[in-house]
Amino acid sequence: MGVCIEFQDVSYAYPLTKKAAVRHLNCRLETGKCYGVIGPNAGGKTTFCNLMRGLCPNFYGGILKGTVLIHGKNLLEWEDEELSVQIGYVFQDPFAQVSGIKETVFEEIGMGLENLGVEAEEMIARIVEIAKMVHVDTLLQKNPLALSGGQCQRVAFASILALDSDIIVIDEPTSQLDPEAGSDVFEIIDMLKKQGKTVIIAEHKVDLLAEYCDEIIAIAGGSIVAKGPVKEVLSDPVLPENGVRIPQAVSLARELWQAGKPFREIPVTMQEAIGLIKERREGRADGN
Amino acid sequence: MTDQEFIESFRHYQKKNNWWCDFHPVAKLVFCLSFGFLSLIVFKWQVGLAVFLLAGLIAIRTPARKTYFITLGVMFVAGCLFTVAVRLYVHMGDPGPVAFYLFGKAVPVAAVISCLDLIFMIEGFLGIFMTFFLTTEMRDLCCCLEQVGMSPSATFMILSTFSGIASIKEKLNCVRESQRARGIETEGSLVVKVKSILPVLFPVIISSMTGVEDRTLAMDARAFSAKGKHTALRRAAPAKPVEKMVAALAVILCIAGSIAGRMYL
Repeated sequence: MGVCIEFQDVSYAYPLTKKAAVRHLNCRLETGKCYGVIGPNAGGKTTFCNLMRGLCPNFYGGILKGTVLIHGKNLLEWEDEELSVQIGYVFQDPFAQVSGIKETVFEEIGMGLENLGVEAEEMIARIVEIAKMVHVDTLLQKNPLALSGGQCQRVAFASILALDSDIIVIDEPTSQLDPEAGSDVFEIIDMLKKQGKTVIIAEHKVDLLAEYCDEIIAIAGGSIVAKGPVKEVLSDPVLPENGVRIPQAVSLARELWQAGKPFREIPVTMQEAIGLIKERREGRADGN
Repeated sequence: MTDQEFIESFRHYQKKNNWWCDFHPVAKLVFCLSFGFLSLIVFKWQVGLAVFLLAGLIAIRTPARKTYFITLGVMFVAGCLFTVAVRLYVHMGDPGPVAFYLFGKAVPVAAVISCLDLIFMIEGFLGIFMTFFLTTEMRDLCCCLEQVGMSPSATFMILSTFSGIASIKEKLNCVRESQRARGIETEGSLVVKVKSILPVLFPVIISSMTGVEDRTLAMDARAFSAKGKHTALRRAAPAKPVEKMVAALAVILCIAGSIAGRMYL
């Protein structure tokens, strides 16, 4: 797999701040993989996402040191409009993503396509397809400003997916959603993964990330404290040491290990934990 | 409308099946601007009344007739009557032919005519503009303006200004509801209403302004800054020759009428 985004010793400080929000970031993100970005609040997750999308420093200003390469080209050499097509960005607040000038969800989803000069017939086909994909096909005639948080987030997803970007950056998409709407969002992410898109998702819900992501990047205090395959990173003791939340399954495994009854391996998802518990129960039954 | 019918509607020009509502928005705007300014420039009751009647005739043949006449009636009572009362009071006892006596003082004919000029100028001007705003969707107007060369950024500004006003109104209502839930009185006389709105008015406006950054980022994510041609999902029919002719005639009438009105009335 090729590398689509690369951070080379990247440090960044927002304007009017003395302390850098992120420091000495070094990592490579491969095409077609799903990355989960985890870490405590104010740890640098959003800045990491903003750097990929070029909002730092192009929009916010500030001081950038090091190099961010997007498809091998320096971030600072990309035009804003090119980046907006290359990298789709779904923001944290679903309501802040509504344009406010479109009166129906149908038109809201099509707005990005209008900006790209796509012809009407193609636009209609694409909107209908995307709306079905993210399950907003029953909301097409509704006013985007009258939607619930979950519906609004799905419409925001649809609006970005319509642009057909190869890289999708998603910043805490479930922070304002109920658990059911949160699961819907992860279903969409799963769908994107199957389409071969590179997905980078900053999120606190580590249990869901453990289930859907290929790799995890843990950021704390503005630095990357761990990066690698899901199992390897989420079972790394460095996470709790840095205040990074770990999945419930890992917590359970740790408790059992401390009680002198360790699992044969550390589970990271609920399914894995259930499997290991069943295995242990069956083992006991056989022993009896 | 079913979802399928709704989607199909974007394959054709938007239609409302009313001659005035379907009139080309830019031609309609030119027509209304011409007659509105004619009423304003000439400032004579005869012209104002003619424009007012024209606006009424148009409005009565549209689905917005009820809103039109209610709003105009309210504006008449609230605005015109107050202005007329002030004018009459100021001119009471002035020299010249007397029209009638009020509270024992003579009201001159000139003062009555001046009042009529003012009333019909306001009613004509507002009436013709209301026929435009009540029957034209801003998004259709902006779409047409883009077709004639206005930049998408400018039309976005127009549309977001209108939606911003609506959003401030919604936020105000929301804050008033929360105040009511906390036991603060928000209903009753005008003074009570104003007292409940004033303290939250500026914070609401300021908070709407802080949303600009979010909106900018959201628009950036939708490739708003993309160079090249922008297309439109919602399409407005191009202006028909007759619509162009009506708009041109209105402009000619406005110029000729203004000159003639200033000279002979």
